[in-house]
Amino acid sequence: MSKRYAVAATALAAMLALGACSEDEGPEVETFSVQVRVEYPSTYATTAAGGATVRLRSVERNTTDSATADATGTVTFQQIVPGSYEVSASRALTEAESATLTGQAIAVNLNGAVAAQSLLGAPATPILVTLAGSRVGDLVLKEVYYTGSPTPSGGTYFSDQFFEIYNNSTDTIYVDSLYIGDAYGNSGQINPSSLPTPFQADQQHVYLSSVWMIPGNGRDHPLAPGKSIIIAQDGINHRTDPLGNPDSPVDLSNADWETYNERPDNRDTDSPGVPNLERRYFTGGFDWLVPVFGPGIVIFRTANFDALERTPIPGSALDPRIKVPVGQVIDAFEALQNPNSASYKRIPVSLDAGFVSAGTYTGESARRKVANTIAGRRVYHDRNNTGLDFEIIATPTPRGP
Amino acid sequence: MTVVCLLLPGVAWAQQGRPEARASAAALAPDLVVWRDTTDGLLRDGVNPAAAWRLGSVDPVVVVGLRRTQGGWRRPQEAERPLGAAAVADGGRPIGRWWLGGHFGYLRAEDRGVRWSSVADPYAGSPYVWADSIGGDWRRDHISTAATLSSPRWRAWRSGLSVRYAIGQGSRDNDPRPLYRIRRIGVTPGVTADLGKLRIGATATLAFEREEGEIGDYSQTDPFVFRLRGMTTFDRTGLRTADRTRAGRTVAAGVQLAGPGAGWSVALDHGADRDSTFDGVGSPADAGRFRRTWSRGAARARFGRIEGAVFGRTGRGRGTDPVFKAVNVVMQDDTVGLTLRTWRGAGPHVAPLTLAAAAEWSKSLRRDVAAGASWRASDLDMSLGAALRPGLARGRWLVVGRAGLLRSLDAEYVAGRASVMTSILGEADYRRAAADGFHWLVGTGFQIDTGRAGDLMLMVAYARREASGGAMMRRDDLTLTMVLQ
Repeated sequence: MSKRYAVAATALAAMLALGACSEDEGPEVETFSVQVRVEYPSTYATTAAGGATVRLRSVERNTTDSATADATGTVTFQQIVPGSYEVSASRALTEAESATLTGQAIAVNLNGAVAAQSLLGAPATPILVTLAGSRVGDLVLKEVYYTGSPTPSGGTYFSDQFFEIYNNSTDTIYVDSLYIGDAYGNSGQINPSSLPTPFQADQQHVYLSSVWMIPGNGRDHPLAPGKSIIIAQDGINHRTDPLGNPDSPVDLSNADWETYNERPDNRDTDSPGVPNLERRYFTGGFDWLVPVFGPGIVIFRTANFDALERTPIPGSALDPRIKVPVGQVIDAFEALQNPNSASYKRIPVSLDAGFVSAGTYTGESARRKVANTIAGRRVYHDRNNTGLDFEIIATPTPRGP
Repeated sequence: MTVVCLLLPGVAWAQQGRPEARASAAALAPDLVVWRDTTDGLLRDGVNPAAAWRLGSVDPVVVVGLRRTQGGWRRPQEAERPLGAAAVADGGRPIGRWWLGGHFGYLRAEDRGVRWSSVADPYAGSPYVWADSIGGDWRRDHISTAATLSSPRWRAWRSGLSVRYAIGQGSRDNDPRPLYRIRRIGVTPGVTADLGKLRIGATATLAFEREEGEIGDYSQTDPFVFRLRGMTTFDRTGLRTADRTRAGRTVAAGVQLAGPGAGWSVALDHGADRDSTFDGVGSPADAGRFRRTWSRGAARARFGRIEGAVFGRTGRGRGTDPVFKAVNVVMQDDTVGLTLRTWRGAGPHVAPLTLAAAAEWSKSLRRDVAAGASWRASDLDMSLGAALRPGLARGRWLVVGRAGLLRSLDAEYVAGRASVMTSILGEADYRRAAADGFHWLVGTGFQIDTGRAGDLMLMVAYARREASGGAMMRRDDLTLTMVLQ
């Protein structure tokens, strides 16, 4: 009998030990500090970007701590909890400051960012953010209508997308050989498996899925200051055209160009009254449909388009993407699915430090905000930050304010 | 009241705190008096399956009930107005030298006004709950089954085995239309030894649970999903659709001792729960791990017509955050209680008058480490109750009453680095736990001998819990139960 008791006691002790096992618990969470150093581009006279605004954004919580860099370009954020963080910085240089730093008296907006990284403790060295930027003014994307519209039968319609490019400078600009393209990548967590673009770590290039070019010999298409051009997906009156949508908010029959996607099956209709852009690279379907959840759009110039690298998408059999250096980009716009989709950003931060978001098939549009009006000419904000420069409006306003 | 006691296998299973409890009649059985059967059934009614044979031949017992609860004195992720209907059938009999019993339960719940939870039970343990900011009304269907087998006696020994299986599903009918499916399987082997004046027993429990949730699959709009990770920490994102899985495991062991004639008994249990939550199906991502160890014990003794029991429970839970990769959630719950009852007549279940008194001290603590947020509250609940059974010609009438005071002894709330969820989840839960108040219950039942059809008992009970001191919190509970044996 005593042997049976021993066996039972042993079995019970084993069960209790198993139940008491605390398994793989780790230590409790500890907060730490994060130091960030901001530097000007290497060609500038000074390295430390004192006065830069530095932002530390928690990807998981979508909260942002912000501080101004001291004279050494350094900021220290205290009591940071572990997680994924994006670090970004911006600095607006006046003409005088720019003259001191670069020798050229041109106002410049500088941005810089470090892609999201996991911080589980205090970094051993400060996180370095190197600023880059572009001159203020020139051509800007004034309005991007990408959301599409609902149909009377409850369906969806997306052929009425358009892009408006505005001359924000004081000089006439020829738009001949101006390129426009859409950045590769998801606009957000559209599906559970949606991942950010694999090109996100490369902040020196933007990777385009399709590229169109305004034809011309260099001086065929002048654009006066304060004037704009409309590039339509389909240059028709979408409200009245039999192929359109009576509930569409736009008439694009007077667009300057359309992105006619010539195909053997003629699935894209060529509007006879609107000239076509030159299709330079295309990876889409029937038409140049940019994501209705939010596209990344850039306009750029390049001396030799064919010389641009075509980069395969890591882990994908899809066609390669066009790799455009940020230095060739004139302006950029970015919209993402919702305010919490920042981790899906496709446009390098030096070109565009923010983004907007709108509904899907709502007829909403993203329009650049007016900074001031000089002698009847509107001057739009151009801080290289879609989130600051653009607003979401209920109805598109092609060629409007 | 005898028939109610026979339901204890289901009650005991339900009290383990897992969501399948929803499928048990315990969800509907009113707590009629303050007396708690802390150890009464441990060697007799199936908690130790080796002792289930002591039930003898148990005619099928069918319980049908309705329960309606409403009021603001509740935890923030509980339904504002839960409504439930359940049907439960239990029975068992000797088969040769063996004993076999079975249980089947079905619960239909209409939980109105559920906020910040899209899971079966947000308070079952793991704090890694997902939700949306809208909330709404849930419909839930849960089924529980159990079978218990006791072996013949071999010398002083008997062995037994209890197997339980429960499934359930719930959904919400407004966007983003979350739903869940849950299943749990558990097995409890047990042994008992009759050593003359002393009986001893031991049990082991191993149970597995799996809950799968979906959000957005049937939604017209893209949901905005909150992944809660404690009383303050959370993240949120817009999604088209999403899937989440929680896999749970419970390992527990218990020992029991009983004196001659069930004059006294002692039981101790110790166990560990483990929950792992994952987002996504194809390539699941860690969404939080929760570990809890718990112990409970009780001792009961009877001296003539006075019976007393002391009991205690303690639980420690820690949640490892999927983002911080460290423990960010700390939970602690402790309870110690004492109950006494006395009666006139042959025994407490048939006595014309039973009087009972109880005192229970409990302490709870919740911490969100990264946010520096925490609350703790300890309180004392003191109750008096009575049950009257006036004799009637064709049946028996039962009248019960209970009243008690709830006094907060110590409480502290620290918001820390508060987020939008801190007041919603943390502060609201703290206010509930730290409130002074009182509670009372009145109930009545009527038992009729229907001849061949057996005994029929109809019971109705109304209970109220109300905070004092201007807290303006109240919870009303109405229960209708029909028992057929």
